[in-house]
Amino acid sequence: MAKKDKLQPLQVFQYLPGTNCKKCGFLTCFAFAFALIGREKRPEDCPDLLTEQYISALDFLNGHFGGDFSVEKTGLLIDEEKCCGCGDCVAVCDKCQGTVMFGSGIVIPRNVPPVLKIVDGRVRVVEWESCKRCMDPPEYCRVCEERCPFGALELVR
Amino acid sequence: MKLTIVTYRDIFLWSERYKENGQPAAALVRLSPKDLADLGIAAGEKLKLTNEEGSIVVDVLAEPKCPSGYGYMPVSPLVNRLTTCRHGKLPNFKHIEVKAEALES
Amino acid sequence: MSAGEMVCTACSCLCDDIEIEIENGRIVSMEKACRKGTAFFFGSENERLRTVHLVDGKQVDTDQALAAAAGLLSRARRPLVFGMDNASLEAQRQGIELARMLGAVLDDSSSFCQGKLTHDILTGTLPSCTFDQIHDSDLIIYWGSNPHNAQPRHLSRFSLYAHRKYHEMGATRYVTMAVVDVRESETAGAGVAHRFFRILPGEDSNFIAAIIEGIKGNPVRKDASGFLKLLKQSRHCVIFAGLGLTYSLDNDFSLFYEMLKHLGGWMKTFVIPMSGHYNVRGFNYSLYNATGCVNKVNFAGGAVSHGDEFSLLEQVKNRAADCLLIVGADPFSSLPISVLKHLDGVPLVTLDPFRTATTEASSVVLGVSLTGLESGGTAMRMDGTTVTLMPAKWTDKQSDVQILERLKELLRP
Repeated sequence: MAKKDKLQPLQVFQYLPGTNCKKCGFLTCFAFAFALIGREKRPEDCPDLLTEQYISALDFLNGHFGGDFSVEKTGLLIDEEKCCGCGDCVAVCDKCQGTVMFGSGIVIPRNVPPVLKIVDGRVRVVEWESCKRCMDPPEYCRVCEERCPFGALELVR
Repeated sequence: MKLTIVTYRDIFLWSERYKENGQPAAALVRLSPKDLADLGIAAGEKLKLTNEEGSIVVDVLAEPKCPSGYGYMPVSPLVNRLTTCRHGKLPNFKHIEVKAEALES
Repeated sequence: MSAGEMVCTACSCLCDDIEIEIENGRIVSMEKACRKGTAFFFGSENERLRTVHLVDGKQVDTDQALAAAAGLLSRARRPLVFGMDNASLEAQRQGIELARMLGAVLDDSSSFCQGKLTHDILTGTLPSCTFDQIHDSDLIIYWGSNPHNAQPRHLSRFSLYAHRKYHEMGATRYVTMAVVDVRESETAGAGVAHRFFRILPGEDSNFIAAIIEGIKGNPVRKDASGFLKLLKQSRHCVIFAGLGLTYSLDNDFSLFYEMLKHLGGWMKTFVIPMSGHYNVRGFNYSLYNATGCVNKVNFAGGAVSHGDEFSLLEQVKNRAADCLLIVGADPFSSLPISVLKHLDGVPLVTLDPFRTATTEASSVVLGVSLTGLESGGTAMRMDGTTVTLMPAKWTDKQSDVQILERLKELLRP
């Protein structure tokens, strides 16, 4: 899923009441929009959204941020129903997480097992510790999300 | 309104074929928003496609990047009720001319 | 529990790195296989989706079913053998011999798919390469094909992501992937393809003509000049020709070949047809070795004749065939109903591991094992490489090779 197809915080903000009532625990509605995208809060956590006036906005937000999900440690959210098992993420992750780049163009291999694996036609995470987001310092790599043709992978952070 | 249907392949519908009682939801057509407005229907409603070979009823989905006058349908036995094959030519899987009309619900 | 590697026969990629675990004769898990392959093999576990030997809807044993099939085929005056795209090379050899013995017309789905391109590759007029040679290329073009839906592991295992020079990091791009298609498919989407050229349905010939004009130095439409710029930078290009190109050009590739000839001035171009069933290329190869034609062959009178009138579609439309032997194909799902209505009253003999629309309409159904999982053999990948299939699971069903061999023995005059 390319960045332009992803729901951006400002787009989410437009569905929120915009009253900055602070009932959700955040100072502004814009901060709540970020929390929704980061899957830290659910749409029901905004009391105003539950009123009659915002029923269509709540439907829209539940379509994107509702339902059952579990965000993994590195912020990866997998929608198994959308995955076709093509293995593109496994291939690009292997090329990316297996190496670290220092300076301009010096590539050093990391000797780590693969992060992702295709099991029963769906993508699974098998080894968290190999992800570049678990390195010290972390590198916020997003190739798996960018290269997924069906948008089954989403990095929420 | 006249439409030209182009078929495409969909892996999710294809996988449904190997499930028991898996009724693949192949009855859908993707149209440009302009054609939807011209037909006077919204996404999710039913559309009737007719030509000399037969007629089918399909659900409508909007695809913003679809050119006007064309529709995309997944390959399935259903779409083959509309396809034909003229002498010495390949079957017109990618060029099915149909008449589309909105169905009163 | 046993774990091992197997070859997936759900599409023409023939991925040979699938890891399968089998416990008590049931598949427990499959690793690396895509959704298509997983659905195919897990579906084969469900007995209600599988075929048994049937004569007129009643279950019979192998001998009775074979006798009924032989009876129908021997009574037929103009039999037609169709399919064998989902059969191993050994089964295809038996099928070709059987068709020759019956004096039948022999055809497969390549007559309305990629048969023309495969014919030109086999006769040497169209340059083609294997997947290994993709590593030398700097431009990969998917023309009218959508591998993420038809051959899901094509990119990750063979073409772009498997490319030796493909790097996720770094500013220089050594290999470019372009998509020419009528629909912005998943492959053409922003995250995957580097360049996408959208053309209108049926416009491929205009687009190709514009490229040829551009090569000659004439001003052309904007997207064609962009495509030409991409071609000018390339020295080695692989074109994956999909069904979109074949249907749009309506099997007349003369303009496409003229473009390739012009491109030959500065670059090497190779074409690989994207076929659907796992062994279409193998059938074309087997029949080409046996007769010199890739499909649409008539064995009547002991001689071999070839012509467009021997394709399945023409034979059915003209009601020329009076008995059909269908081996591992499903024409009732994939062909126009306006053509299939001419098959009313024509007895069908079908060999298929799965229940399909065709087996429901058949007089005699011969339930066979699933090649790749339950029986072995060899098959040819879409690029022409032969892959050995090893059975991973035991079955009491007979393979299509054994059934065709026994049918041949029964029909031997």
